[in-house]
Amino acid sequence: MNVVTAPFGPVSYTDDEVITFDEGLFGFEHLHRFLSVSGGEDSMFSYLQSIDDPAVTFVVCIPRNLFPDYRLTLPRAEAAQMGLSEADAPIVLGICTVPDRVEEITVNLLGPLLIHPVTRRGRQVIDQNPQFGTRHRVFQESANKAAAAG
Amino acid sequence: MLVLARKKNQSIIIGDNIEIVVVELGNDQVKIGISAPQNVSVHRKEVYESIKTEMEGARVLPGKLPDLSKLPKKKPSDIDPGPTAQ
Repeated sequence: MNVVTAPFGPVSYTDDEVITFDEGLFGFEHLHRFLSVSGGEDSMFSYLQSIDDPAVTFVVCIPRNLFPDYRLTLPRAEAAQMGLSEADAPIVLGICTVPDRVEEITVNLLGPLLIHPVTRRGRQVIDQNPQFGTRHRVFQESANKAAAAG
Repeated sequence: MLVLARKKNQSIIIGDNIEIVVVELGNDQVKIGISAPQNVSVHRKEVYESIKTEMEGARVLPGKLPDLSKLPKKKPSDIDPGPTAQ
């Protein structure tokens, strides 16, 4: 199948690549089907592209890759609702906000996305014991140094 | 908006499967218990709103795809902290 997206032009995909959010995302409850689009070779970021609205795109990351100490706390019912178990560790994605100075990128760790690794059904959840808020800087010191270096 | 007066331990039923009970009354705060099916999301409104606001700002605007190549790349040490992580 094909979807003509605003930022990437035509993107072809198969059914098993679709990530389905039955309840949509916060503020985007009407959008249910998304695709993951690479952010480039070796990039720590990727894009989450809506199929239902080709003009809706987010930058996402895997928080655990950026913050090794990152932990997400959920009510048990929420994990059960998604059919998650010890064997099916969910894919956790953080939605990033990218300002004009891209090195000041932040990630929303209060409301991450959980995706079942097998069914690819996802749900946006609220961390019950958040260590970080909706605008956590990804690159703290290194970003400042890079900016100073030019 | 429907407004109902309730005392401690009294509850309200919404539909046939959502129950809201007044658990505790304080000076300027009430504790509320909510029983709802698992597919009904229950959130503190201000937390939900803060995430929603951030989501609107996070959306990549058409024609303004950020240049992610300017950001630091993956290093082997970034990908998996391994079994040393607590």
